[in-house]
Amino acid sequence: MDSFTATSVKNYNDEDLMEYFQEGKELAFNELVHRYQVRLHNFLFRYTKDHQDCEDLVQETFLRVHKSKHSYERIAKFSTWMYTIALNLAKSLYKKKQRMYKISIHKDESDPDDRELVLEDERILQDDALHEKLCMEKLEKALMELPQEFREVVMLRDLQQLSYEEVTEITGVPMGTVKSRINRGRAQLQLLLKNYVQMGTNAE
Amino acid sequence: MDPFLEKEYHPVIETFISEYVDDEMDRVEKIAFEELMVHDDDIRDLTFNAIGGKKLLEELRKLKNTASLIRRLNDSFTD
Repeated sequence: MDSFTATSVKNYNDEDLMEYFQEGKELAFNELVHRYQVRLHNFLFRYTKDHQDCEDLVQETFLRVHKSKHSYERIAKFSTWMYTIALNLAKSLYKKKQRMYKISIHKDESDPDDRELVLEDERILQDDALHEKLCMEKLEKALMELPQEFREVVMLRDLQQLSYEEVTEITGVPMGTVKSRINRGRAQLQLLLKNYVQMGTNAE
Repeated sequence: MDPFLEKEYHPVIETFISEYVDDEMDRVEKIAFEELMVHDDDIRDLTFNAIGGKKLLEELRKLKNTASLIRRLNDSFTD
């Protein structure tokens, strides 16, 4: 490999950067963080629906990448390896939270002073921005309604734009099953939003 | 759940559906698959709904990218 410099860091692909990082070049790691932190956040948000959890998971993922840099082998794409780490962390968090929900504290109905606090949303949006926000919310809500095994693969394929081979690698599910789940996930999403889409079309 | 979502097909058919939805078929394959869809309502429903779903996901991806770009722009002003 040629000499690695701060100015040329953007010219390297992920796998080259990872190799440089394995040789001790921290700059290479910083570039990988820069490339993936937003995409990783978006990816994880659909699992957690919580920005704070996403922040923590993104941080934890990069921490794992940093600590386990020598376990990465170039036979796999860097993104595949990293998404696998993120996915496993998200699944662990999901399981942990499910356990936590079982010991939730409810509002005390017998206490007249214990009441729900309702805060008004102070964010005022322009029409276009509002429309986009509503569309996005509607789509995300429908996506969350898909069964977990469908949601996971359509997110990797259609939102993260990974190939079928990469989705197979990340999920550890056979190719035929991945395709079958993606076909049904996409179809089910369309059915969930059928009325909404038709309404939007009629209005135009 | 709609019946066409519950049906299971041979992996070859699933691959045909994916390739048709992703527009990765050549002309001859496309004609052959469309002929199959004429005779099988469930495969047709699954395929056409999957095309609609893929478009919606593409829309969501674009909206997310725009939102992320705006957020980064705003952050750059406040930095």
